[in-house]
Amino acid sequence: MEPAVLALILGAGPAFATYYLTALGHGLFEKSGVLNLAIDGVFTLGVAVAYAAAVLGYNPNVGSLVAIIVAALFGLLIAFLSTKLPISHGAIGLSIMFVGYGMASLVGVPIRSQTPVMVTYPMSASFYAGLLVISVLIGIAVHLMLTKTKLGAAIRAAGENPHAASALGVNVLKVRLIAGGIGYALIGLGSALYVLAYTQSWAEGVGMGHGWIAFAVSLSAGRHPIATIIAAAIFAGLLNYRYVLQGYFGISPHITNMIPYIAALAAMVIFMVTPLHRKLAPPRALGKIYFKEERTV
Amino acid sequence: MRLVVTRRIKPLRFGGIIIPLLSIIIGIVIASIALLVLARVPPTLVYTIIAQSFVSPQLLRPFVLLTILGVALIISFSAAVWNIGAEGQIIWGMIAAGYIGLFVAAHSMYIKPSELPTYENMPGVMILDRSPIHPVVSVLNVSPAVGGALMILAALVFGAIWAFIAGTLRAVLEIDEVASTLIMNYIAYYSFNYLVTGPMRGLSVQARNFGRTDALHEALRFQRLPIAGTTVTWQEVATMVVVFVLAWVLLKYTTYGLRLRILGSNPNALRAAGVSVRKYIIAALTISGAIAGVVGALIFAANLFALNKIDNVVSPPTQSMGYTAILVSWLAMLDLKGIPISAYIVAGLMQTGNSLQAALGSVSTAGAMISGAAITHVLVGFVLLTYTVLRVFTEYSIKVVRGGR
Repeated sequence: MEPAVLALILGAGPAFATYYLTALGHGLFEKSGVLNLAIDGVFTLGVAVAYAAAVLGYNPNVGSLVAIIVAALFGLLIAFLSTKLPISHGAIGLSIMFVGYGMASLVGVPIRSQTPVMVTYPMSASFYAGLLVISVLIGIAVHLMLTKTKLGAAIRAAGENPHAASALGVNVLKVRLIAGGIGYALIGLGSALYVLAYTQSWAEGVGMGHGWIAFAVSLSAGRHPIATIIAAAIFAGLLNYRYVLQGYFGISPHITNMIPYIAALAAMVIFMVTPLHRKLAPPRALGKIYFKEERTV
Repeated sequence: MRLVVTRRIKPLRFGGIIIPLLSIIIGIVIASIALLVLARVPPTLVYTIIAQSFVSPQLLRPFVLLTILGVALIISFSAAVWNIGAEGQIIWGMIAAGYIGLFVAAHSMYIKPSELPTYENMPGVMILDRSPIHPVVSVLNVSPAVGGALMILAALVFGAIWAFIAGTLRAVLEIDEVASTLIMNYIAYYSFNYLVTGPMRGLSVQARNFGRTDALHEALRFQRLPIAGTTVTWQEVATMVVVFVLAWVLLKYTTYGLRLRILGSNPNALRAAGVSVRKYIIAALTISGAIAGVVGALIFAANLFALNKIDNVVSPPTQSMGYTAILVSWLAMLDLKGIPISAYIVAGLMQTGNSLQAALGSVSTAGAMISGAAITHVLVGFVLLTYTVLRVFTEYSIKVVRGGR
C-alpha cells in the first residue's frame, strides 16, 4: 500500500477506536432490549474520569481503566433499573444523561484547575496501528459472542422477547446486567481513548455530543458489530479529516464542527430509506418495559 | 430476602404530591454528596443557597421561561412524541428574532465621525459604537410594537420549522425523534455560531473583534416589570399566560388536542378511527417547536440583546433550559396544571446552580471554575433519576419478603 494512504488510515486510528468501541458497546447493550439514551452523558463523564485518573495516576492506562470501571457501573445500574422496575427506559437514560454531564464537570474541573498538564497516549504510528487492530479484534470477539455462544443467544433472546426467553430458562436480569456491564465498559474505553488518544486535551464540555454520534453510528449499522466497523470508519475519516477540508476549501470552522452531526442524521436517514433497516432490524423488545405481575426482584 | 413488585389496585393516595416532593429532597441530598466528594462544596452551603434561591425574586424569569417550555414539551410528550430538541428550537428562535431585530426592524450602519453629533439626538437612532474612525448607529425602521411582534412571529416560525424536520423524519421514515432532535440541537448550536460570527456579525468594533452580532436597538428591547430584583419583562409574562391558556384550550377542549392525547395512549385506536397518525406526530412536534422558538425570541429581546458565539456547549445562551424543561413536564406528571409548580421547583434548582457557582470561589478552590450549568445538571439529574425510580410507587407497590427464591 502507498505509504501516504497508510498514514491517512493510521492517522484516523484514535477517532476510529473511539467511535467504534463506543458504538459497539452501545449496540451490544441495546441487543439485550434496553433502550440506551444515557450514552452521551456517560460518555462525557467517561472522558472526564479518564482525563482526571490519567493525571492523578501519571499513566493513561490508569485513566482508561478507571473510565471503564465507572462506565460499567453505570451500565449495571441502567440494566438493573430498567429490567427490574416497570420504568420507562427513556426516563432512566435521560436522567443519567444529565447526571453524567454534570458529574463530568465536577470530576474534571478541579483537576484541571490544579494540574493543567495532560497525561496522554503516545502519538505514534505503532500505537495507532495497535488501536485499529485491537478495536477490530474486540468487535469480532463481540460478534462471535453474540452469534456463536449461549450467552449471545440469551442476549438476543432477551432483546427480542424477554418473556419467552424467561420462560425458556434465561435469567433476563443476569443477561442484561452482563450486556450492560460489557457494553458500558466498551463505551468507557471509547470515551477514554477519545480524550487520551484523540483530542489529547480536556476542558469542560469535551465529549458532549460525541456519544450521540456513536449512537448514530451504531443505529445506522443496525447494531451489527461488523457493519459498525464500516460506519465507524466513515465517521472517523470524516471527523479526523474535517479540518483538512476546512483548510482546503476555506470552510468556516463552525460548519466543519457541524458536519459529523449532519452526517449522523444522514446516516440514520440512509439506514431507514434503504432495505438495510429490514435486514438489520432493531430488537423487537427494545425500550419496552419488561414487567411480570407479582414477580420477585 | 426478595422484593415483590405488584401493580396497585388504586394509585397511591397523594402520590402526585408526595413522590415529587420526596424525589426533590432525596435528589438534592445525593447531589450535595456528589458536590462534597468531588468538588469539596460543604453541604450546608448547598442547602442554604437552595433555601435562598427558592424565595429569590430572580427566580421569576426562569420560572416564566420554564413554564412556557414545560407547556411546549407537554404538548408533544402527551402525544408520546419525545421532543428533546427544545434547545435547537430555542436557538433557531433566537436566530430568527435576531435577524428581524438587527436587520429588519432596525439596522445598524456606519456613519462618518463628523456626523456623530447630528445622529446624537435624532429620534429612532441609537449609537452603538463611538469609535473615532468608524462610528456605528442603529436605526429603527418600524414601531417597537411591530418590531416585537415580528421578532416573536419569526422565532415561532423558525422553531416550528426546525421541529417539523424531526417530526417528518419520525412520521415518514420512523427515525426515533429522541436521537434526531438531540443531534439537531448540535446542528443548531453550530449553525448559530456560523451565523453570528459570519453573515450576522455586527459592525461595531466589539462585534467585529469578538465575532458577535451588534446589540439590539434600545426601543426594541422588551420592558422589565417594575419589581425589584427581577429582570423579567412583561412580554415574557404575557407570552406565558397566552401560551398556557391556548395549550389548555387545545388539550382540553378541542378534538385536535384529544387526538394528540389518544396518540400518546393508544395510537392504534386513532388509526382504527381513520385518523392520520403521521399528521398528528408532525403536529405535536411542530406546535411544541413553535412555542420553544418563541422562548428564543424572549431570551434575545429581553435579556441577551446581542448574540455571542457559543464557546462551550455546557453553557449555551439558552442556559440549557431546553433540557431542564424536560424535568418540568415530567415532574408535572404530564398534567398541564402541574406545570407552573414544577417550573417553580426547577427554576429554583437552576437559580441554585447559578448562585452556588458565584459562591464557590470563596469556599472551594477545587470547584471555583465549575460552571453554574454543571451544578444545575447535577441537581436536575439526580432529582430526575430519583423521581424516575420513585414514581414506580404511585402505581406499583414493592414489598420485601423474607425467605428464599
